[in-house]
Amino acid sequence: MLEIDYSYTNYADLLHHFATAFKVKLKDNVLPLPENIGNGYMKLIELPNGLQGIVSDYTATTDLRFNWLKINQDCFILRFDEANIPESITTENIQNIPEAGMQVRSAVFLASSRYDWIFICKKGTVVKGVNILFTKEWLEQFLKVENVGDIIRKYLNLRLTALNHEPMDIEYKRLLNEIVQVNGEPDYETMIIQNRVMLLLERFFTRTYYKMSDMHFNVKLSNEVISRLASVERELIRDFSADPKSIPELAKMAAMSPSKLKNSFKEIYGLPVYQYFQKKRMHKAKAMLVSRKYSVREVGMEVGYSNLSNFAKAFKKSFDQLPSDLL
Amino acid sequence: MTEMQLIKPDLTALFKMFADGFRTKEENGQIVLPSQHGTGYIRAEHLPSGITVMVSDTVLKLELIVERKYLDEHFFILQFNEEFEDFDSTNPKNKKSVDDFQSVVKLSHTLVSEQFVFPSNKRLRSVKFYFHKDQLYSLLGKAAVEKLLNQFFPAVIKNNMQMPIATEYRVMLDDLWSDKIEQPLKLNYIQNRVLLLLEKYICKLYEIKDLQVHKIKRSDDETLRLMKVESLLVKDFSVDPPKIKDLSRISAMSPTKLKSDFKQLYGFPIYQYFQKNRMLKAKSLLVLGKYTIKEVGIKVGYSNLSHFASAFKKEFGYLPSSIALKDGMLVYGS
Repeated sequence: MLEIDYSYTNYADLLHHFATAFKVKLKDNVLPLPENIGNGYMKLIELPNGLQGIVSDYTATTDLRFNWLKINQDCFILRFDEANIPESITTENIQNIPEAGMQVRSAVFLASSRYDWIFICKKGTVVKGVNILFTKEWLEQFLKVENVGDIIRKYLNLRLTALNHEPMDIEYKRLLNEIVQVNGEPDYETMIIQNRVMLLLERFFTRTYYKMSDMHFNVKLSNEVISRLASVERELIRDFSADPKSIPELAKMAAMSPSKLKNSFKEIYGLPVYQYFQKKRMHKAKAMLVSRKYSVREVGMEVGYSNLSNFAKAFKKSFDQLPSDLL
Repeated sequence: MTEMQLIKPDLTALFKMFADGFRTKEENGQIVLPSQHGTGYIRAEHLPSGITVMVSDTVLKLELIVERKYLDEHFFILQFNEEFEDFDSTNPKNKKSVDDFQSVVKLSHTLVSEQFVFPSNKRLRSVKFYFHKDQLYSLLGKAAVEKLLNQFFPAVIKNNMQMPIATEYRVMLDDLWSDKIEQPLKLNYIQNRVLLLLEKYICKLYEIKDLQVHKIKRSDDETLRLMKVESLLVKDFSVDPPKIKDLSRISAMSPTKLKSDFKQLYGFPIYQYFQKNRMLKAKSLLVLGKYTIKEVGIKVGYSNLSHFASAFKKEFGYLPSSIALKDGMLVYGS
């Protein structure tokens, strides 16, 4: 098991950090992984349009865990990860495993540098990924030319408490593969990569916009109200081990009437206050369970369930599987 | 005949002239031709990278010629033009449409004067965009840009080399030519497709090893006839493709010559080319998410679903059903 903590807002520095941690040397921006970590590489890409990225293509030979530690600086990381997990690791249900004998877990997500997050991959997992790093200014530049740019920005400010993810469909995978397996004239390789990175960004933000429209995201609320709601949201999910604050308490915090709080919260976050609380709580539980550092009991306690069977029931309601299925 | 003068390398300026000339108002960067002048639309955008692009699909009643005089600023323009007889599929007497088909990719620059011709009573679909060397620098490394500016582009322009619009451009062109672009990130959407067109063009230039000696032995007329063949092949996938002997008659070439010249020009044997485009069409329909797999299969001429699935898999390596595949998550917030 290898665990690395990091928080670099420059991918060249990050790759050097990894090189030191893995005890290998960087060659032309390529980091070949040593045998005790994985077979394959991570590669830095520096694009003419100012974006940086890391392309990964490897099979992990040990359990890996990368922890992003939050910093007080605004950056975004858009990650595309495709992980093929050999069946020997998840053998419970052989019938359901796709033809190649591999189980695929993939996701696209946008993370903010202001929140902690983890990337985990088990020994034997085949990882293909592209991470793109950009600053808040870059994103503003990117969105400001579009009519819907303002709305998306508002939405991101609000929703991006930790990360925003969506399943990776075949179109994302195609672009991802074209980036990872780029093989052309070295002269124009960066063009191929850059064009596809821009397509990934376009697709991600387009879909974000559509998701937003589905939720009737209300942009008529003032920025002031939005920021007060955001602080309510932060307070709500700060600590799951204690009972959540009551609606009147939250309303007081936000300086709104309870009914205004309830309505505007739902409009923006898509769920009523306590359903939202519950959803986040279960996601936290799931994240802890998959990290395999804690027992089901510990996780249950951490998210505020002293009664294990209530925890199991609530978990099953959210994910259709029991907490113990993940261990 | 109408004439206009373009005095700067900016297609949004030309667009404004069109709007004035046709006395019509732009709406969301688009004008629809008033019926007294013809049918179709013209749109133009100034993209974030500084590139200006014009997309049009028009049939004009009077020929329109835009004259652009020599300019001091050095810009390049890449054009994708598809011209065909204005035929209406409900009107059978217009069968000869294919006899007048032309589809070309053409690069030129602003150091010499140039004309854009919008013919009368013919349908012209066009995507054209002006770009500058700075835009190449924000796409490519220095070595590659210099190679393009000093070797490839001058060779193409000197030989007045026109290439056919081949498969690799089709997907992007189809996106741009669609009736309405209703993407929330419209400018980025258009820009990405324009840059992909440029990318494919540049890759093509790299493929053609020696541009200086790349004078095709084929006559222009023969090239034109091959383009006709191509247009017939990709016209309608829901019916069987034309037979070689028909194509050979239409193009007035022997089957052997047709087959080998087609392959040389488009990079694939005739039916492989057909199949590839057919599958690309199927994929783009599936990605839309509007049609079922069965409907898509029928649209591209497969009544048997399992044949469709296996043909699709052969082309892309995965099944049509996996386009809709949803995966679980891998990363969790903590």
